[in-house]
Amino acid sequence: MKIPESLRILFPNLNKDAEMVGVPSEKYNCIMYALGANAWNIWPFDGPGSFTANIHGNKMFWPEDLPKDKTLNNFLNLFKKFKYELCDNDKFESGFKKIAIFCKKNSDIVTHAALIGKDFALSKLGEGPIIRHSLYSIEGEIYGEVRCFIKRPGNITKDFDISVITKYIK
Amino acid sequence: MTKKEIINELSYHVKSVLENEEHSYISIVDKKEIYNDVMNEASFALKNKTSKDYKISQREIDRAEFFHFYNEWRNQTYVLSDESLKEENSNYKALEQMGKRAVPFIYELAKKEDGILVRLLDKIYNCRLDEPGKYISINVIKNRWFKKIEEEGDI
Repeated sequence: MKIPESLRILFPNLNKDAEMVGVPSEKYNCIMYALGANAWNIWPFDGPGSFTANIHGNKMFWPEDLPKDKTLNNFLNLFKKFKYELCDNDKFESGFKKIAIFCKKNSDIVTHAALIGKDFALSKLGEGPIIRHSLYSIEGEIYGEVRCFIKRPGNITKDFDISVITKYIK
Repeated sequence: MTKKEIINELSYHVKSVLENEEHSYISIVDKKEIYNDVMNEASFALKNKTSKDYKISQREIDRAEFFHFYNEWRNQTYVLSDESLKEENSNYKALEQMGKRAVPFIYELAKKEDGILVRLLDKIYNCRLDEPGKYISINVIKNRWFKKIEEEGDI
């Protein structure tokens, strides 16, 4: 599907052959998509516990045993729960799932995560659509810049370990 | 273009966008060039006139005002995952400022869409009906808010 002009306004460097591969949804965000599922939003929130209703009333998850801040270190600890570890490059590796984490420029505040494929990346844009794009083409005012990469054994298709989240349901 | 015509056009547009399900807020941006003039005129009219000037109801003005700010907010923030940035957006703040005048349209949207603007309702009613920290389905949250809004006669 063609990228809507509205997205090109928000991401002026988006590569010309980028395409929309999934419809918008308020039910899950970039982190959940990068992890391989499409239920719930995952993001730090103010308040107690591991779950809350987000701005649209959909479920928002952040494990209560992690701080509720948006720092890179906090997100790395979240991904660690899903067995991801830091790696040093953006190259696709067969047999591994690799994710790029974006932060605001000159800051360690996380803004976005994208799944790395072979010569492309996949991003769920907030509550917007899923797009297939060049990894660095969404850098800029909104998402800042690619800050680091993480990986775990697996493949790019959905292989989400739901037990990491369900154990927090009381 | 009279204010009545502006409101009618906006209402028609909002209705057609809402019927377009999940792509609604993308569609509205794509059509933005076409509707920019309408939006600008509506904003100008809303700032400078009252319903008395045009003999139209306050409800129609509230509707146009609500959907103007709502669509602008969605257009500007839908790619963000960070909720605090969405709440800091000036259009969202304008929705908060509308207070109970916004409630009939929050209710209307929630009846048509999957979600409900719970954080906005929290601010307007100064209470929370979801239970922070607990795993509650959106349908339960929606039904609690529908009941409260209906009981308070704010539709």
